Amino acid sequence: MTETTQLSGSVFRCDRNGIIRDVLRNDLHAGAGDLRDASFLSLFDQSNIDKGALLLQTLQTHQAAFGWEINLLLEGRWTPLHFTGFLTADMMIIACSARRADATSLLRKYLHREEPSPDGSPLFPAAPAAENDIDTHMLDLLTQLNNELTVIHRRMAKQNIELEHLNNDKNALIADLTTALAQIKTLSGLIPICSNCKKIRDDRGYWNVLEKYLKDHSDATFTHGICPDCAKIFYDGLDLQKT
Amino acid sequence: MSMESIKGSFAQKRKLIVEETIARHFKEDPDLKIRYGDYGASKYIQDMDYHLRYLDEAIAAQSPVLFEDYLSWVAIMLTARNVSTAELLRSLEILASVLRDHCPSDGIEIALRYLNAGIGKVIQDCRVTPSFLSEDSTLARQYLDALLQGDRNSASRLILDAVRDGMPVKDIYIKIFQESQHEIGRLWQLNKITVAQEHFCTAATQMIMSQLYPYIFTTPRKGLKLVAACVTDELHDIGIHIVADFFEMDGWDTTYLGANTPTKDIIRTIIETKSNMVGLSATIAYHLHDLRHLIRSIRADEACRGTFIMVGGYPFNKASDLWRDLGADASARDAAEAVCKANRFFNTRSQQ
Repeated sequence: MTETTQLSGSVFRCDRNGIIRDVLRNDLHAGAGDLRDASFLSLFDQSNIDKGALLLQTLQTHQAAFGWEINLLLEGRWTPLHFTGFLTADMMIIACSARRADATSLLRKYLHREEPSPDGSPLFPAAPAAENDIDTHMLDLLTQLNNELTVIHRRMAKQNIELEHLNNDKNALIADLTTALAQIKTLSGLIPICSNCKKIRDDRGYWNVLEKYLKDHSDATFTHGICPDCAKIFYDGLDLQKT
Repeated sequence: MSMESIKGSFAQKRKLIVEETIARHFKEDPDLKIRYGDYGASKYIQDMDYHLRYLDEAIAAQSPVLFEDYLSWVAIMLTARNVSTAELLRSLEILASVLRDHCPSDGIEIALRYLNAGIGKVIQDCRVTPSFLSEDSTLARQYLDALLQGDRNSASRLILDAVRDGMPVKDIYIKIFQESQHEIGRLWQLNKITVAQEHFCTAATQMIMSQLYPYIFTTPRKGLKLVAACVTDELHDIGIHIVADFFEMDGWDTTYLGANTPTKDIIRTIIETKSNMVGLSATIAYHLHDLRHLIRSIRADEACRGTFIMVGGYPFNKASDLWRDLGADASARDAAEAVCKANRFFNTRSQQ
């Protein structure tokens, strides 16, 4: 047997004007006939209707009312009942029972939606977000972790963009150097040369005079002079060093 | 007795005051304990602890408006969770009687004055904040809807498409990210979304902000450096993230340290980066004490001499002179104003 079935009382869902929209339970057999769309105040006789109206007014202004004792005629006997109610976005849930604590427990059952409405629809149009099962501390830790990742991500993104800029600069420098390098003509490897006349054989097999070969394969140009040994051979008797 | 020493004596007895207030309330109204259940009672303890922390901080900052504003926010938040304003007011009345019994006589009058001002504010002027999204902010609504549906990819696409269509990145920061974050806070207050949704939306927005970095880290440098951070325990860091990115877009070289940064790390970073300025953020008013301590520590460090300290966050928008009391050089209401004020200060300094 559940706690709810042990509890005895009546629970009504009313709109803000005090019209009963649902009889959620009525163990007490309060009221006469079908109470749907009847005024909540129709439960009371003339001597108690003012207090019932005050209960509704209190609910409307203070959003909650607890432990109101009002007499109700039940099965021909005046019975003192405890009324407890709560106002949600646009509905009032009002519970009553012979015991004050039972009225509160019944209200809590329906407020916390442990008990469904008769047609299974939600009791409250604007159902409170269910946070009871959420470990908020764990969420805070996750947020903290996410924040740290955000900081690292930003730092890395910034450094990455700076590296990209540096990389672009480096690539531009390499391109400049490559162009410059292409303009520098260098001689390397084995060069076949005539041991007598000193002509050089090029890639196509032609023999070129030394000056032409060097001129074609480097940026060097020649200016002609004569060395002392040759001067002795070709200009013997002339003192070229003096002239 | 100084405001800070009143605060100190408060803090020592906070646990006792919380427990006794709730015990008295439950004794007075046993039905309340039944209705709240175990979960509700644990939340009640947590909330009462927050009330005292905020009261402490408001007294130390000599700013009743901080506590009044907080209580208005709490009243709406609790109403949305089926705790009536009448119950909140009764619990505050009981708190006042407990404070009378436990606080030093020379501090109690101040505490009660602040508490009563807060109660008065709840009674007189407790309105639900209207939506932060204006009628014409279609993109912000679409963005927020996508996030609330857990669809971060669609949210991201909306932002990247907007940038490609020519929407300035600064507008996206303010009109989309900032406004939707404010709206998320409001929706949580009204119990329309869960705390998990709130955390998801924040994390997703942080991720989407990072997709805009290629647009942000491209401004030529102007030779000024900023360190941006939240104080210890402060987890609300989107605001200071926006500020850091605005400075970056203005040509500052920024180091963003984010949420919950220990004091020594902030000081070390200022020194290592030779920063001209530090931007500090606090959203929760009871972190102001940590912020005050942090500012004092920066001032006391010889290596940080001349560092311009600017503060910002929700409490500073509510109490306009609070920054001065905390020892900062300036405060700003938003990222654009922060950049403007900082540039003006350094332009003037360079001309001297």
